[in-house]
Amino acid sequence: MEARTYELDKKKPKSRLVLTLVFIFFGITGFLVYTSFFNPELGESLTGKVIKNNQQKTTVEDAADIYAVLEAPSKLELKPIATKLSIRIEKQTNLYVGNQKIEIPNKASIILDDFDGEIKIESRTIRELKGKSSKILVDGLPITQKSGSDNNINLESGPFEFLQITDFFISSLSYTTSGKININQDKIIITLDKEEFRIKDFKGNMDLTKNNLKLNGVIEKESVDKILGSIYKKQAEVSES
Amino acid sequence: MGREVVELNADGKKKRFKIIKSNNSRKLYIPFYLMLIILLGTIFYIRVNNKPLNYLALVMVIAFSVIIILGTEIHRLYNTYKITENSLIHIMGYFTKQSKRMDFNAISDFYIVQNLWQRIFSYGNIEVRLYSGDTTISVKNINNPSQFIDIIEQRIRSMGNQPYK
Repeated sequence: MEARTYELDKKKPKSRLVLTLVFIFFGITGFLVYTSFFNPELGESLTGKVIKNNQQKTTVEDAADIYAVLEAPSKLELKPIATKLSIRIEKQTNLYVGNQKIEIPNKASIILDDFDGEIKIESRTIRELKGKSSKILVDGLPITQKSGSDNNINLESGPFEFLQITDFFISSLSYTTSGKININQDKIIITLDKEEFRIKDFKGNMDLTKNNLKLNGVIEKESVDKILGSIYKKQAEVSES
Repeated sequence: MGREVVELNADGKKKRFKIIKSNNSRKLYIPFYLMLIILLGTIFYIRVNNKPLNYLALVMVIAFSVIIILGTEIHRLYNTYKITENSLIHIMGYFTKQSKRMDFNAISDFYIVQNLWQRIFSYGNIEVRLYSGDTTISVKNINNPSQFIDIIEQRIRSMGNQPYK
């Protein structure tokens, strides 16, 4: 007599589940490899850049023109998405593009197109500059990474002579400084003397030298009111005393 | 191995024996663990080579790893096999449990079924046949099946009843 196998369970479509898991595994592996080695932009368009663009506005509503020449802040930290970033280095340093190390000679200029990253400046020195750029030029010569298309850049810490960020957005900037602010083509001219400069939602260009910070662009009108308000308040305090 | 139980005989004497409990072997899930190793290895390689690591891909890898680890552990718990003093019990289910108790006196013989992969990793299935001949129990994907059979045979012998081979 043929033996009957005792089965408590009903047959389940186990092979289908395993096959699904295998497909998911290959999908994830493929996506991981493709977005890391072949097309990093694909991943950014799906995640990173979309989020960043949401976080960082590209337009300033209810804006006023601003042109300001101020004393440079001792410390500045920015996370810009800029059309162009230009730096003139003071002393020899190294720039890393992916795995590639590039020696930057004294007084050399670096231009980074479509820069998306982070800059930390302290005591007239670039402490950190890292991010991505679509095109890198060192003294006018284009740099491309040897292995792959991504341009992950990292600049070694060092002093700079000049830094220019073109067409970028910052949500806020605040520090105590002296200088002159020109709002809406000379309609309002504010002179600061060791007073707090605070702006919100700036879009435009920034030039930073060792001593000066120049801003040329647009800011939220509310920021103008705040600058004026803080000045009136200070003047009132002085006259009262 | 196993949990020690003390029972009283019909004559009132204490009798000690161990209940041996076994679930599916983790070796069954080696292909899934290999998938995790490959994914985590790829992430490690990406980080070491300073390549951009996509956030969405990272989240997917973490989610997949959690699903695999939890899934395999939950799947393992579905089938439990217990060797008591005089019976083999197959318990199945998570919340609603079904169990089949097979007395050692009723067992005629065992078959070990192993494919190449199972032989390499030393796990497999055991088919337990009964004297009645019309039913068998399948002990599936158990670690070291010959040792499992040895334990049952030892228990049968201690009952003074040699299994028929």
